[in-house]
Amino acid sequence: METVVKATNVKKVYGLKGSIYTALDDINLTIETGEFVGIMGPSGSGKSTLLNVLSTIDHPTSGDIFIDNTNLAQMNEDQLSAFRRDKLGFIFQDYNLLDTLTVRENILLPLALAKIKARDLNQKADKIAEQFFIDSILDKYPYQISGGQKQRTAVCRAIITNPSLLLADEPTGALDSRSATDLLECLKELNETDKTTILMVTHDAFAASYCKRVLFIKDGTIFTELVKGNTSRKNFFKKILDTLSVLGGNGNDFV
Amino acid sequence: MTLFDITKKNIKGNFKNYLIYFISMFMCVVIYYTFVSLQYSTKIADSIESSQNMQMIFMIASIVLILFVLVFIMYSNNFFTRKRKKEIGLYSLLGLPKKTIGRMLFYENLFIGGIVLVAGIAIGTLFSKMFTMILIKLLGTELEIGMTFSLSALVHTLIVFLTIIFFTSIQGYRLIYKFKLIELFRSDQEGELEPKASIISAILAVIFLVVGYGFAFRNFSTSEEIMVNLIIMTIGVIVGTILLFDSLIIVLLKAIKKKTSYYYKGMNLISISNLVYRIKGNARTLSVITLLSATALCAFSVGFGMYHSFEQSAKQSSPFSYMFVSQSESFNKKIDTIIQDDKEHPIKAKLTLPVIKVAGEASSSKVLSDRDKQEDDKPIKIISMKDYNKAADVLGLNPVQEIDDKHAIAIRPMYTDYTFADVYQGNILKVDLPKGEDKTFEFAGMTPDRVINWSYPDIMIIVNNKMYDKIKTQVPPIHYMGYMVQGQTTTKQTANTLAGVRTPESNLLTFYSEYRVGIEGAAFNVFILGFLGLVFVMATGSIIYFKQLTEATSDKFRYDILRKIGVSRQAINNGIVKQIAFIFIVPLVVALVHYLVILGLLKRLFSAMASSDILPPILVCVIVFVTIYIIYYVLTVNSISKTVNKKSSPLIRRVSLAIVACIVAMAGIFLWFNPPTSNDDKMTVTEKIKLELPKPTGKYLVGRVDMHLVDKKRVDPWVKNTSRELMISIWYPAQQKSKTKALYMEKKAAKYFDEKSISSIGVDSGLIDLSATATNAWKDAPVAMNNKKLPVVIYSPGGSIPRNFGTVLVEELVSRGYIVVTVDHPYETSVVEFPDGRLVTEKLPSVSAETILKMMDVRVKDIRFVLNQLEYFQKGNNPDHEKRNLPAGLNKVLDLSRIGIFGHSAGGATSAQSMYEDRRLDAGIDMDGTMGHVPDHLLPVAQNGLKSPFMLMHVGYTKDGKVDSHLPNKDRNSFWKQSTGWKFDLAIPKGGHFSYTDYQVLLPQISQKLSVSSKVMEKSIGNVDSEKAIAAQKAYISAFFDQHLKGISQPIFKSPSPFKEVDLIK
Repeated sequence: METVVKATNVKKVYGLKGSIYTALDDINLTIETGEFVGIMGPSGSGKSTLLNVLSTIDHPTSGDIFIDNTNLAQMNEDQLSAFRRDKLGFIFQDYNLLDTLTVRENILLPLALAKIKARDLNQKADKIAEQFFIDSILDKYPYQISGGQKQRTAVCRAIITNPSLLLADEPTGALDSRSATDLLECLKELNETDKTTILMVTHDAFAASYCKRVLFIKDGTIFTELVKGNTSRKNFFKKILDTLSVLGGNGNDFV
Repeated sequence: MTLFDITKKNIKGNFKNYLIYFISMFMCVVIYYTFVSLQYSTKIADSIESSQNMQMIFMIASIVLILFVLVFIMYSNNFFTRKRKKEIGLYSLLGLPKKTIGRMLFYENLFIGGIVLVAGIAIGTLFSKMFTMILIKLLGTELEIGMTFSLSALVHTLIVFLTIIFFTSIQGYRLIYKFKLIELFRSDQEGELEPKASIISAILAVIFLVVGYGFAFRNFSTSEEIMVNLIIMTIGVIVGTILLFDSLIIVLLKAIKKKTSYYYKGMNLISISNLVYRIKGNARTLSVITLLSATALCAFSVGFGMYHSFEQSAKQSSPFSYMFVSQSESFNKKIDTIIQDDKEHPIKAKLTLPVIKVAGEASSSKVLSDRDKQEDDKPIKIISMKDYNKAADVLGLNPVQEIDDKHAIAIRPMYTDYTFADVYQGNILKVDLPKGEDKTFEFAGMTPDRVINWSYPDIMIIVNNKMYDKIKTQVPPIHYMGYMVQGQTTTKQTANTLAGVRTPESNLLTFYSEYRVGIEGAAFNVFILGFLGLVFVMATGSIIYFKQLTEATSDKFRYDILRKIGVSRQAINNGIVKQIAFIFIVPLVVALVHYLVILGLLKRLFSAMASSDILPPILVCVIVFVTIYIIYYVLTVNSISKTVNKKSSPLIRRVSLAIVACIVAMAGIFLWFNPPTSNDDKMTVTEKIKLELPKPTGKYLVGRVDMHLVDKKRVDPWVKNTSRELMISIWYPAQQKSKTKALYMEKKAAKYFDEKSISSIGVDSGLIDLSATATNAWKDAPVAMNNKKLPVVIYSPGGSIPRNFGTVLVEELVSRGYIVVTVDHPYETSVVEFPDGRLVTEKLPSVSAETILKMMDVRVKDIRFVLNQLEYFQKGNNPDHEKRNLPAGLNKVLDLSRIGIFGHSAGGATSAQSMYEDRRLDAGIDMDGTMGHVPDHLLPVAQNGLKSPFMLMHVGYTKDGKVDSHLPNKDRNSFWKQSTGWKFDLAIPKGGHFSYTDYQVLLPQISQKLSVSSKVMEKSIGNVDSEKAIAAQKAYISAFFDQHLKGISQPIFKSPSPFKEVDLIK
């Protein structure tokens, strides 16, 4: 199996002298192809910082990050943009769809930006939309569709470039439980059938239970790790809840 | 923490939002103040007042500008408060009372407004100076525009903006009361729907534009067709433009969306979909911008065309900076020294052009008319090809091509639009030579470029060198000496010095004198139009800038998304650059296309604009226009990129730095070149020129008394709020001289006339002291009493001409034993001064048949009132309003049983119509006056004629080259036919319309001291010999009144004219 993400001794410090705040402290992390990894932790634990650093939106203070064996530290701004476009796919809590574009155009956007020949773009969009059950709303605008549909559009947009890594930041945060379940099933399906590597940040134990492996972060370090293995999703969910209670903090953070 | 502190912190915290609001308000103040200071510049205000078109343009401009400012500020205020709804909602949520929040918003707005006003006016002052400088440099004339800091402009701007600021402040205050708390929070989430565009409107847009353009290109021959073309073009273009932005472009963009190979490519997807929203949302603004830009360009071009035609015509009549016909060696030397001494205008070239003058015959009267032959016994000028081409080279004209002995090339006479095909082709010119061997030439071509001074008759041909040499052996040539100097548009001093040494034979002309006439007015028009154009381009640029910027702030999150999904800064910037470019380019291109089409129509309407020489200035103004747009474009892209990326891209930063540097440099250059100085330097030192009138020939001394008459029974028809009052002078034979001569013109009136009217003949004001013109009349002198009553003659001056301009003829009549009463017609005359020092100036409505007929009615009533007052005076009363002392016995010598009347121009018509209405008038003369508003509104007297004796006097020629008379004029022809009394018609063919006024003696005197355009001289008084023309007038007018008022039969009316200047009409 190949390594998609390899982070060694990643450190992120905010602020200047006087009031220094360490968001990430010596993080070491490896994600293999086809994995579905969840990252959990209380508010302020550093999980979003970790995602930002891994997704190249933010730079680590020290340490190295390799994605597909490419060292992010050695890339300049433009290369990073191109890298994001070609290798990474993003799903955000608030969808981040462009309201001036139709659903189809939103999905196609990354391909268009990569200046890929337009000939079979539409078919591609149709196919991927069918997979996520949004083929009937392809020509609608984002303000005309529901939250769940929006998020599935966002997923389509994220995976249309066949990214090496799909990053999801609280993808179910703004969805009702029905839509959330649908979305998670989709992600699982994606991971199992297409072997897409997914890294998902969440504070929802239910969402995390769809992952194959869950990392717990506390005070900027990896506190522990749970692997699903052959346990059922329900049991895995319980395990996660147990770990969270051990993790401490305010339990209310994790429901 | 006080409310004021919160306000202060608010402004600090919200600096970015405030900045946009601030900038937009600031631009408004700058633009408005610049415009208003133009309006309040005294010189410009005068020139606006004198032109109805300018008045209209200014009125429309100020309305559009105020609307612009209002809408712009309301819009930005609206945007600004909307941005802050959340903040306001938060204050409310935190429990701050509504009243307090309202007051806070109110203060904030006032505070910003105050700062903006101060900064805007400061920068506005600089801007107006800079614009002035740029335009004057562009025009290259000596325009003196006192664009200094103007207090009234400041007050005007303050009032307008304080009102607006106060209003928007109240709006801010009310905001908090108007909305519910929940709305305040939601305001930013209102989503936009996808714009719809109807195909039908898009098709309509195309139809309107095509039809509008079609009518712009359609041929026309009548003025009705022109109107139709103009109206349909205007409607087509306006409606077409609005629909274009509202629908057509949207439809086109949507069509592009369908073309996926282009649409799904990089940032196109984002840019195009954004544009659909942007264009639709700004459709109205963009169409207004387009139309305003096209209008501004057209107005500027028309102004420039007019301006240019003046310069062209000056170049035609005086191709060289100075030129004269060679005289004695000492004369030539004197002129040469004067020109050499002018170090500011070094000589570029000096040329001697030999020209042979001969008599001849032509096969067409257009080539050589009988009138030409009468005017000069050697009307044909011949120049050799070699000399012509030498001159053409110096003047930068096209050389002519070699021809053989049998052919000649014609030079087009001035004031004609002859073409070779119409006039010269196939015609033959025979040249008479003294020793026989007459030469015959066929025309081989025509050139419009003249190389020697204009003089009448204007017939000149080019022959080949061999032929020229042959003719030269028989007729010696005269030599034209031509000088080209650097900066020939500013040689005022030298031109005036030369005027002092000029002789009539030398025919000395300076380019400056020709150029000076009218150029100032034309330059003013270009200046004003150009300035308005700039102001509007600035205004429209600001609109786009601001709108794009505000939209970019609301688009910011979109760009954030793009960055997150892997679009580089560079790519986003490129997208913005392209998208904004589209928004700028579309109105620009559409405006330019409109402009070109309309210009095509205008070119056909105004021949002045057809000249190809006008292309460079038009190009310059297009380039300036495009440049300003580019500057705005760069600024916009820069600001947006800053908003979106939080920093500007290095290229854009550099470009904007360069622009700022340019502006600063320009301001610097301006201040360096034009340190603030006063313009009245040399003028006050030089003594003013004094003129004199010729002595009358009769035996009596002349006395004069002025009277102020008030007609209490008549409301003044021109101003309505006062009784009609008149100034008259009574001129009478005097017993002896009094202490002082009568002033030619009252001092204040003379000063006013000098300032307002003298410049129309191309002479600077302040050089001539008109009031000191030496008259022959003694003020309030004792009346000559020899127990004889004298007939009375009334004099009515021409339209807008003060009554004193008839003094030469009036004094002559008085010296021969008449009492003459000269009458001013206030509000119609350019200026009348009353005894209390009041000046009443011209206040006529625009010229129309109605105005002319009303004017005549008022004039006749004036005359009849004067007659009544004379009767009142005769009875021993004092009609003077101030009851000033009148010369003793004057009333006793008036013989009111014999009254004549004469007048020039409108005054001549007044004479005839007054006689028609008032039987007390026994005889009259009309000196070159039209009887009514021709062709269709004849005065009653022209329709019905007179039974009493009447004399018509004419000048000049008709269009067909015939001597002017009653015959070709519908009004006087009818008058002549209907009149049953004694009648006489004469003409001075070589004279001008003003030959029958004092101008006939004053203008030649002025031109001896100052350089006056030959064109002005020609148009005003023709080229008749001044003394002889005056002598002839004196003889005929005296004879007429002698015969019809004194009853002494005059042989002069029965014989051919003893004056060769006079033609008698049968």
